[in-house]
Amino acid sequence: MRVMERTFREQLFFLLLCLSVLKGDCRYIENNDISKDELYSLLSADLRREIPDLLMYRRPLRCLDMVAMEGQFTFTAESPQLSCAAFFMAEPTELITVEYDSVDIDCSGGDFITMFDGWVMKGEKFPSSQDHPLPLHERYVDYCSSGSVRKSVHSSQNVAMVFFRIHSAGSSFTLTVRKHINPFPCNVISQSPEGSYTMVIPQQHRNCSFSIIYPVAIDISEFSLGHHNNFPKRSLPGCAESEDYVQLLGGSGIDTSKLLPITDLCITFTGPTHMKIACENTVVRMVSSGRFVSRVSFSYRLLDSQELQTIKLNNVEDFCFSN
Amino acid sequence: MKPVPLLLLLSSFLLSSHLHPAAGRPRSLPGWMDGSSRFQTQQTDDVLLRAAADRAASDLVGDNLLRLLQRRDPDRLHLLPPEADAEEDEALRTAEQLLKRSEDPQLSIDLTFHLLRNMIQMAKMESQREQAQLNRKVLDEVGK
Repeated sequence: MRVMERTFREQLFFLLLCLSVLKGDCRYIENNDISKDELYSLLSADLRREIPDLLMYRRPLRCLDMVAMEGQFTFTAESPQLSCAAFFMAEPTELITVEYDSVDIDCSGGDFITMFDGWVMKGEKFPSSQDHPLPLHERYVDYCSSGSVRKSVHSSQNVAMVFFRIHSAGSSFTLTVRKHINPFPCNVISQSPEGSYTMVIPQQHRNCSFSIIYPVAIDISEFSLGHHNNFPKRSLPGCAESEDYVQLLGGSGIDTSKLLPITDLCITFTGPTHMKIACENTVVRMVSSGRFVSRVSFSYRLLDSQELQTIKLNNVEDFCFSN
Repeated sequence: MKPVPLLLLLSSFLLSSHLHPAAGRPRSLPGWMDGSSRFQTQQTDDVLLRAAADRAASDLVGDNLLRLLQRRDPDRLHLLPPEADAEEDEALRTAEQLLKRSEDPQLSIDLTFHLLRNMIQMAKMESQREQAQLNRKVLDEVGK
């Protein structure tokens, strides 16, 4: 009787197992971490919150343009336009989605629309290849080779751009620009020459840059790399042995890997750091090993002409004027 | 005891038709893409192209080795049938084409920081102007 009871119980368990397999419950087991795809599916959910058509901003797109708002931008070629570029920009905590609509271009005739995940100027890229999660060839998305498949392109930071070339008059295309909240902003180009920002890298092995394309006075008010107490307090030249540090960079390009290091902060932080950097581009870059939650807070303001003049006359800090 | 396995078999058979479609959904595709098969073929094409580029690179290495051998031991290489030489040339030509094709379009724009700042300033003004208009429209709607 007892043996029979056990067999029956085993069969019941087996039935239960069969039921759960057939219901497809086991997919939850594979699906227990936040993957990139899920992050994007959040974005696509956000996409459904469409702006009402009446309130959608519409205007023509120029051959050289800067777009800082959501809306529909239509380019119509009145004559052959062979080298055009439009920059897109959002707030530091936002991402950009660009959608292609009613594209009427001649791909076989040499026309193209190519999105770039970031900005490119004079061959230099932001974010630099070292700081971007995607390899360079994946950051360029060409409409002609993938247009019918990829109807929209997402940026990985608050800036993106599109290059386009149109040979025949009358060809046109429309781009719909939307912005989304970025829960973990990493690389940022500041929209304005003044403001304040806190950069956080939550235990991720990555590098993040905050770029201010103005000559600025910068104050680093708070800074935490998660190893104040157990790190030996001896001076290391240029943070060479540390895997977690903050860099202040300056220069006259947008590629952070080509900028000059002004100072490195890595061991202990004694009081606020105030610096005047008379460069075309000033960057706060944080390098994280992924073992700690790294954080840096800073504020910045535009240098006035008198301050710029003083720095120009000073022999020590003039490296940004050497070009 | 007999009905138990029968019950088991029957329930399994019946429930198999209730399998949730999402259970079999591929997880490799990003959520924001509509998972069309054309994207998959494009991915495959990319992988193939990359593989082809790799092959091209190895062909080039092979060619260099061939030249090195030719310099070291020209007599021995002449033993190779002429077809092999032609094949090698053909492979090299294909390799060059593939390498050219695999290069990324390094699109860029020559713009000064001064112009870029002006453009940002104009875009911000446009944005503020539009926001003001939008606010007025909304207030008009509310006021009705």
